Amino acid sequence: MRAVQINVVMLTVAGVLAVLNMPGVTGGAALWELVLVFLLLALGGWQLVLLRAETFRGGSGEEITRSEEVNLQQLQPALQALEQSLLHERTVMEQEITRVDTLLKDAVATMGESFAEMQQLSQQQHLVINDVIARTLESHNKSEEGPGIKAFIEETGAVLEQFVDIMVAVSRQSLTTVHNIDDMIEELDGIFSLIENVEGLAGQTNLLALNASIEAARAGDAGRGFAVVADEVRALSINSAELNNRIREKIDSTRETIHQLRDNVSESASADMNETIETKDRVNQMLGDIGSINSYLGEHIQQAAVIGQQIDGAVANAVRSLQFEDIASQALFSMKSNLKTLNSIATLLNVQVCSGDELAEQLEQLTERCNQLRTEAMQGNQYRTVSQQSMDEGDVELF
Amino acid sequence: MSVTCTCTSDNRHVTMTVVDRFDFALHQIFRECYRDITVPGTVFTLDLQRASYMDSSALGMILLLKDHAEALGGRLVVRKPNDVVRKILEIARFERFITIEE
Repeated sequence: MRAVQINVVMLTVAGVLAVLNMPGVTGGAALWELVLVFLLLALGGWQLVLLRAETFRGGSGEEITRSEEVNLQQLQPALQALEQSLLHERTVMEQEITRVDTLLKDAVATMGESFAEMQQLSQQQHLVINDVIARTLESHNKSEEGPGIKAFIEETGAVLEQFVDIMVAVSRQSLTTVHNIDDMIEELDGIFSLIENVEGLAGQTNLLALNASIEAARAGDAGRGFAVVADEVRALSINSAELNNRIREKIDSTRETIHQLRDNVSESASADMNETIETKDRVNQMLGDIGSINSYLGEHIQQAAVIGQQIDGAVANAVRSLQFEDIASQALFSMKSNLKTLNSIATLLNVQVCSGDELAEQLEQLTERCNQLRTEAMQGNQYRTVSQQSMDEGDVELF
Repeated sequence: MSVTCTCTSDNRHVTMTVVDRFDFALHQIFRECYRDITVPGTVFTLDLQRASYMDSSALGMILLLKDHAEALGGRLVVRKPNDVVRKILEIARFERFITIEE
């Protein structure tokens, strides 16, 4: 009677588990619990049958009472109910397995597409980064394809150098001119002293002519003609003095003009270099800045490229991991075959129990059939354990 | 602001020293310092240790002095320019054709 108690407990547990799991079977864990329930139910059912058989065999034929026959007849509908329950559970489980399989396939397909897209985007990013790297290197090497900022600044520096060269050349030329003008002014000063000499001569001539006219007057009538000559000489000396004055005036104005010219040339000779120095400094500074910006960019773009490669690797890993779908499908498939076995077990319960002899024969058949089914199931499981267990074992690239 | 000129006894070494501002105002005295020196192979040393400023005409003057020295078969050495003056010489890239001594 103790066995009966265990059996009742087992069936109750199975029933409770079944009721708890029935409303919404969603997860894999629930699925396995369902399998457990079935196994318990099946086991419980069988033990009930075996128990009955034992009781039956225990007593002699004559001892079969009417009440036991009634019990045997009652066993029939109980077994049928059990069979129906098992069949129902099997159907639900099959539905769930199919649902999970479909969901899994859909999700994996979507994820596969996402990863493929990700890989494509990553490749695009690669191209963009490579382009940027190429451009950065090009601007280092002064490419023909558009002048870079660096080339522009270098050109500015070169122009500035040319400008300084021109400034120095102009300065030198102007100084030479100023020196020439200075020499010319010295010459003019020489002319001045010469003119002064001529003026002195004219003054002396004037005095001489004056003396001559005085001597001519003293000579009286005899010197009258000579007085005329002396007057003419005096007039000539006055004229020459006037001429000298005019020459001096002209030379004076010339000297003024030359001084002006000298000032003008000096201006172009002397230019403040401070601004040029500042500009040159700025150009150098900018070149330095550009250099450091370029190297900074280059460094970080290279890093980005490396990260891109890592992303590719991660995506490839993820894609490979999607093969779990295959394994899961296989597992679900073998679960379906287990369900078929369960189905067969359930149908075994559908027996017509009439008398004790028949029951014994049927029980033997049942045992035999049950063993057969178990052996088949074990063979199936053996095959399953040989198949892939872990995703790492396979290294199949899906893309 | 002035230019002084000292000569060695053999007249083959001339040192010209510029004090304070080296600009156009000096051009006449500067030229007078060297124009009468005609000894072949004279080495002119332009001491800029005490020069505080230089404009482009100073660069012109240095070039003319260099021409004069080279015409005599000698050469020109610029000595100890301060940072400001050195920068101007660098910008004009004078180190290309003039020896600049520290």
